[in-house]
Amino acid sequence: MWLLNIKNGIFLATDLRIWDSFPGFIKICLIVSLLAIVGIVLAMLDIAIKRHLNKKEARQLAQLTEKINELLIAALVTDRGEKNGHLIKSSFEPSFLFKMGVSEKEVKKILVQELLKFRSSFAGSIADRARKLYMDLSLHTEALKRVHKKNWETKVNAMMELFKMDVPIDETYLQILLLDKNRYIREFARLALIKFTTGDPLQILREIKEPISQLEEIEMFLLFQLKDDYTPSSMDGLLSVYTEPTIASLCLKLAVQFDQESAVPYIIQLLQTEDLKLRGEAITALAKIGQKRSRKYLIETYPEQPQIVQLDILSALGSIQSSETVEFLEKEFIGSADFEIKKHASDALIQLYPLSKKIIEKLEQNEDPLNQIILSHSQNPLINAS
Amino acid sequence: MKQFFDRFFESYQNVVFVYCVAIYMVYALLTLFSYLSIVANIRMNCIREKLVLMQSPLSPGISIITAAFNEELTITNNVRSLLNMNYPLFEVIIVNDGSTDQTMETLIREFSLTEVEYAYHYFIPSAAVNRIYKSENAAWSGLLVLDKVNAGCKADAINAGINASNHPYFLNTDVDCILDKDTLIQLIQPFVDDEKRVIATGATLRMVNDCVVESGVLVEARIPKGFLPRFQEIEYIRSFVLGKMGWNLINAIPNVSGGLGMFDKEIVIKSGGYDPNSFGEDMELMMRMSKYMLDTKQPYAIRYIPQSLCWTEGPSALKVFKRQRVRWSRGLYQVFSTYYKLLFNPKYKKLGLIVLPYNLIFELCAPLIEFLGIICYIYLIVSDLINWPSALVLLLFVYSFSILITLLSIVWDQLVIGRYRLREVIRLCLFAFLEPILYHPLVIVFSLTGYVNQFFKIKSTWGHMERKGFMPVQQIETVSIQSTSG
Repeated sequence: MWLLNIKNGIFLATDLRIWDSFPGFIKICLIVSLLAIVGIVLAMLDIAIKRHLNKKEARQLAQLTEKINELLIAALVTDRGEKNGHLIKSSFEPSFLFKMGVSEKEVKKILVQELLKFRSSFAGSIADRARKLYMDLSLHTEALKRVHKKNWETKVNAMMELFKMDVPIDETYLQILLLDKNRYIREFARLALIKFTTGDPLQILREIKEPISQLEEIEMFLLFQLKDDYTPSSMDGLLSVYTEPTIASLCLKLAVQFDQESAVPYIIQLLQTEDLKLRGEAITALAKIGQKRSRKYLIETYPEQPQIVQLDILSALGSIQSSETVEFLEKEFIGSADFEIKKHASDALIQLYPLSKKIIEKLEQNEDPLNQIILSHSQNPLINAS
Repeated sequence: MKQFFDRFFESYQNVVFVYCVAIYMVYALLTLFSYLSIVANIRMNCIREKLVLMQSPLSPGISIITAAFNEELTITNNVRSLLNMNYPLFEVIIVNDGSTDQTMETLIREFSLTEVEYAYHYFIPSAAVNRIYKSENAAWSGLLVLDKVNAGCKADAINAGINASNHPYFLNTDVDCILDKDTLIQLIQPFVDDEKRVIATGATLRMVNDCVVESGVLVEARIPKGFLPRFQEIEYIRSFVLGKMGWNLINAIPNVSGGLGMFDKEIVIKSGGYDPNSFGEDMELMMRMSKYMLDTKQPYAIRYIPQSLCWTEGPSALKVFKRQRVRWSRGLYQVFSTYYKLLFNPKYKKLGLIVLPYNLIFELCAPLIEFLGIICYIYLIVSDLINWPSALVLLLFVYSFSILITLLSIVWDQLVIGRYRLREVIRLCLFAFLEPILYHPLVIVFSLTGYVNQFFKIKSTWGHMERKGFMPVQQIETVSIQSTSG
């Protein structure tokens, strides 16, 4: 009867008697099935329509980007003359771009995007002119407004734009953003503060009490590296067991990068940390900056350390040229049964060449096949080239 | 007796119904989760500058580890493509797993390899490594080749590679997989950006079967033409884009695929490396790593990204497909026979309360329940006990909902991938209608075969994937010239 109804094209629900005869769960299934069928149709339409619209939009944007690029090349690369410092703007007239069928907002977005590409792909005068054009077209004022928007993504993107264009953001406002609930806002506020602060950027690190991600550490390190004529001030309060470990780790890398001998006493303090990774990093930094001053300390503390830190000490000793170091490394190489200890000691000995020449020759006579392979491994330039 | 069967099957209908409703509720939730997860990933990609990692001396090093067994025809191009990844610090470790063809000789000749005395240490167990090679050519200084005794499984070869690796992270992939040039930079991102310690990351895998590949590089992505690979493409999209991305939102990913996964080497070694005796070594490793992290009370995360970074050849022959699926289901069975104590154990948090129960109820038991359901259906038809209107409504419910889920996964996929032509995507959608009728029954049968084999401990080997190879650009051009002249 039910099948007959369907065959006759009569919709099931119209026959209320059949509908009523179904148990409740079947009714629910039927409703869900109908919804699913509608969903299927909508999903397929979504794919077809979106693809079509995206293709159309992509074509329009590609044309616009090409046009913008032509104009930018003419204004930033080809035409290098300047009149009253404003030629760049007058030779770049974007008004007709707004008539290309794309919204003004989109045009500005692509313009900024392309200007940023010029900033990152070129150095020197072209990058400076890209910034000048950005300012002359007052694009920065819009970004500065967006920084105050509620949406975190808009805020972060605006900060990023200004950051890359070297347009300072109000420090007081950035200080407020440091307390924001959103981790990305806090992160970009920190980066912007380090970049734009007129004071000591290390002071900003002192105020960070939460762990930073490895990516943020990498970005911060890059910022310090790129700062013109920068010499870090004292590392006091940054390299201590009470500092947030991720910040201490960054400061150790900065101390090495800027060859901060004055940081050595603080690094020695940091060797007391219970964080083994940080302790290892402190040892590496100490050996690179402190050189001979740290040798004695490292050798003395070696027996008390866990294996993972011992490996860092052995690697660190490889950069300290002294006969006592060579003797110590030889002892560890022969005496230890631990493969990793042997390998690190051997690598360090090879690094100390030619000071370790005689010892290496002596060790090569050693009959232990494992020792021979390890020494051979450390000496092989093909292995160590990578 | 008949009375017993009548009663059993009548009540079994209710079990199947409740099971269906439960599974669809979970899928609906996963669909929502995966959407949120994908949107979050897209937003993240807008604010994260990949260039920073490329420029920095602090970017962590990565070892790409891959096993090769009888790959003499494709090994040169594949290794070249691995050596050309976009990343500042990485090495490529090829483990020749006792190939019986000219794989090793080809590598030696093409990459100017020379044997070196390498201090190799067995941090995790693996079969003996006979020789280790480095290239004399400085251009390939990042290449390390291990020639080891075949142990009959990929897990053992990867363990050997881990032992020889020099970086804190490693990427495990298959040598015949075609990787996107940005694979390393994309997969390392969660490791350096997440607030928790990330122990593994993965990305979407796709079928390379009819794609255009030139010198180990994907030139044009295409939907597979063959029935079996095309169904697998649909299954992969659903599994990766919807399943893995959904679980990603609540940090409850059960498994990182053996075809493409990046791992924290320290945790892998501390957990004991891959289990060479496991048929599902990738899931087994994730269970062990997760267990290790929970036992040592370290917060951790396993992450997935929706981008398609790896293109792998799916079996196009039924025999090979069967072998693969039987192996996978044996692996799943093994995982539960090893880790049953973790099930519903609150000490193991999400692993014990979500990941394992979900996999037990909706993955391991699914083929059994579905198979019994079919038997029940047949019995009720034969016994004339079936209520046709209700049965057809239920069938429509199951069919329409499963298609909707698949189509939504394709819609989500379109948010991140625009490589396919619209015509091809539509074709893929249409195949979703056939999948429950043609492909899914095969998967059920092969899964059950796997359970039976595992239960009775029937011996089986990994078997070698018979590859059809890729369609090079030249061939495409020839085809198009012929068709125009014709």
